[in-house]
Amino acid sequence: MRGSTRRLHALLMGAGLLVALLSLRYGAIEASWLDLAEVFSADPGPLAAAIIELRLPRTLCAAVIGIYLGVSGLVFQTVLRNPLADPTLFGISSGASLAVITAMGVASALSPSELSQGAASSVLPMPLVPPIALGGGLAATLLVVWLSWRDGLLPLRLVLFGAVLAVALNGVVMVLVLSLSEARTELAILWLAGSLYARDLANLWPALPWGVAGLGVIALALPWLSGLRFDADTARGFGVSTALAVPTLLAAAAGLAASAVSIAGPVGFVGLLVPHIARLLYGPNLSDLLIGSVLIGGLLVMTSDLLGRIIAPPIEIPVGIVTSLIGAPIFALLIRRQIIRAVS
Amino acid sequence: MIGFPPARAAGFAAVLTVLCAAATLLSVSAGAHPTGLGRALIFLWADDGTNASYAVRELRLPRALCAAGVGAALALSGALIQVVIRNPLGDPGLTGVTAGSAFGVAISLTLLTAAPTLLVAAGICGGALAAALTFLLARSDAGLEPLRVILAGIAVAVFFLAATSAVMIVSRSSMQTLYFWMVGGFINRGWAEWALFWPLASLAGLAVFAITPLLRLLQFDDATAASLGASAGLGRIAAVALSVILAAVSVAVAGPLAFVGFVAPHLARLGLGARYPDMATWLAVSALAGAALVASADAATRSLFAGRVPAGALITILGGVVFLALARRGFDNAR
Amino acid sequence: MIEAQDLTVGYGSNVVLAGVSLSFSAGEITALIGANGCGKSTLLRAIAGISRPLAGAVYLHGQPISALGRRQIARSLAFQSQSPEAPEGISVRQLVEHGAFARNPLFSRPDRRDVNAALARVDLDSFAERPFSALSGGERQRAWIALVLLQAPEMILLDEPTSFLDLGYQIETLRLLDAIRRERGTGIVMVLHDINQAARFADRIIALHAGRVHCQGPPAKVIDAALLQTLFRAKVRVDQDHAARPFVTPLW
Repeated sequence: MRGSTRRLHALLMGAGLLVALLSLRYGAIEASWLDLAEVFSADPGPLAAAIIELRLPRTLCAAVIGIYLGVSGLVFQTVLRNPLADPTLFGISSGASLAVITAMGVASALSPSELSQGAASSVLPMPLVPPIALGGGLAATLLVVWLSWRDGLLPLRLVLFGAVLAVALNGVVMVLVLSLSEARTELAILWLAGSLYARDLANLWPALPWGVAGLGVIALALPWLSGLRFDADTARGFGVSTALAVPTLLAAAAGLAASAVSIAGPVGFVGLLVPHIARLLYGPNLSDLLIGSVLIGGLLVMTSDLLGRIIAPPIEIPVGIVTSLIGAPIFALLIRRQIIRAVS
Repeated sequence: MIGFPPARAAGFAAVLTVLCAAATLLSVSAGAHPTGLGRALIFLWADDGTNASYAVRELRLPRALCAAGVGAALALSGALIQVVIRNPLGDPGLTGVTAGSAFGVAISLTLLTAAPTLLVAAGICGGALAAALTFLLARSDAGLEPLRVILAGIAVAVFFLAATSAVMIVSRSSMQTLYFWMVGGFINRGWAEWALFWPLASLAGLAVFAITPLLRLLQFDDATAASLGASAGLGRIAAVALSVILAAVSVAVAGPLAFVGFVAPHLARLGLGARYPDMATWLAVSALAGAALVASADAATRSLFAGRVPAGALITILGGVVFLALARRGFDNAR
Repeated sequence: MIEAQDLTVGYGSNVVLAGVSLSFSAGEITALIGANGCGKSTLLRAIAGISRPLAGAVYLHGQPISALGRRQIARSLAFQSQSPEAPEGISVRQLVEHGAFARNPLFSRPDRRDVNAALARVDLDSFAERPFSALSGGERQRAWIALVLLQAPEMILLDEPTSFLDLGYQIETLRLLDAIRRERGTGIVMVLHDINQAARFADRIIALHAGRVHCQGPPAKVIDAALLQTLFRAKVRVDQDHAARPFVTPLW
């Protein structure tokens, strides 16, 4: 590993830790550094307790979401050889959303009493959410790939069909949301906006095994990923079994994205932006890019969550909206760059 | 000396008109307290002061008119976009216009005022802003590449949707009301909405038919259009402007309805059967198809979901399926 | 009829041709020749008023073309790009009908007899109801010419009308254009790559080189080995063909 790469890793890691600390300190109630330090004492005060109870899990959630989405985006963009690929742009999020909202509806219909007005998690058993989101996300991905398949995958087609499918699935989600009872409608809307509000470790645990498995597969399959940067025939020439490698890697990446969605709802554009930033910073080496995507992803989502909390307190802007607001203009610029490149 | 449309066009238009009228009648007579079809017709003719009469005349009729009108306006808006980008995948939603209008309306609703005129004005401003962004992004010296317009439009749309959600949440307005509105539909739309919708929509609609000779030439490439006697640049600006106005007034009334602008012109093409229908006929039949579609969707959601689910949801789902089916079939020929 | 004064044309800030002054009159066939990228097409588009020149002006019947409306221009001149695009699904007749846009009142349909006459003139009468996309390259070119016939301009500008055609269609297209010139007195300006075609069909050759008009005049006067050496860095022998026109053979 070159020294500059190591320095960059260290720099990003440091930035991540800093943002994590800021994320613990700032929010609806601003804590002082002293309060923050109290976290480590044997008998934390009420504010420190709140930080441990609320802000720490949420910061962790943000980091994990960012890592998952960043790596997922890197794999999607590499395998599909499409710099515009983003897991949330083609159906994974909407599929996962639909599955989760459907489950919410079914659970609340099945639950005998209305005692569980507070949170969806109390109606829908929390450990079930990630597998449900995973199933929905994978199903939607398969659907998009099937729809846009014609002698291979045309990148533009994939993005267009993904966007349209997302809108259509969102229509179903809307019907379901509106047929939920009022209290849960708000909950569902917040979930759909990609909010980290009141996320605790119970939301995180179920998403960990899937995610860690996905990350492991991708790390092990890095040589495959490297070969797949070329067209399929060339990759086969290198000895990469594309029939095995492509589905494996896509499934792992889709699993990561679906796990991320299962924690906080859809968080848009992270999967799109992170690999681009990583390429900008690290250059083309894949293993550097993988580590870079982990670091940048975590940093990006933690920062977005923090921003969402401190822009207009006491109201929180859901992290998914912050990332979309940042991400959409950059997406537009990327398209613009493609246009210019195609013309010249 | 405008030639008579072929018999098939007339027949198809008649079917659509009947469908539209049937949906409107169903809409007018059905509801929480169903009125018989015959009684509803009598109430339309004369007010007898009863609650049932009030429901028909003051609640259901304007709502049904709004549905048909918005359908026609969105269909024309989509047809214009399809002409401008010379690709049948055009839809005001896919060019960011709908999302931009929605953003404008949401801003106006939550931060400024709910006064109808300002609402429409805000919708038009938002739509125009989004359209300008989309076309600026997609523009290059080589002209407009249809798929790039759509890609740029998706980016613009996602941005404005996120911005709209942010506005919703920051403004602390009732989230449910706004979400309901964002789905799109005609619940509780009355004469006030109709009064602000029809003058602008019909003016813009007339203008669309007034520029049909120009629209015909926009289907050629820019140099050929110029050679034939039309400035493609000016024509596109005029067409996009009208499309934005039509989409924006529709969004201001009904919220962002997806896919109507895509599906209705396609239905018209299929129904007319001609490979290259006459522009004016196609536009007129598209408008009819849009009216019939949205009126039917509204009538259907009213009778199926008893008003809890807005028509927009149904339209979005069905429209998305149709879009994917048609686009999958025609994508490569359409390029 | 068309007067170009001190035209400077190019892409963006990249000047390709500077200070070009030319005039074109009806009844004359003019061929623009020059190396790839020398600005032939850009010049043609500027003369047609389709792209703006960077400097200078084009006058149509003495009036600056930039001040005229597109319909007004279209009554005097037609322009055909290298690969014009037709709308999806259009039939040959429908395509040709669009030629009437500039001449007829806005909301009128073209006279069926005029359309039939234009189609008959290019021998496409039996193809009238076929989809345009089903035609061969040469038939498409004839359909575009039929459209121009209906438009009835005084001047036709064509950018490489023979480029994508096989030899038979190339000859057919040029003969058709020549015949139209004779029958109607229409002026024709075209960019041609094939020097022999230019020499055979044009009354006047305009050779563009190094950002300006290198020379112009009747083919017999202009085309010689030295010119082609300058323009294309090609060694050629120039003979006379049976019609006493210059005929170029590359020396390998």
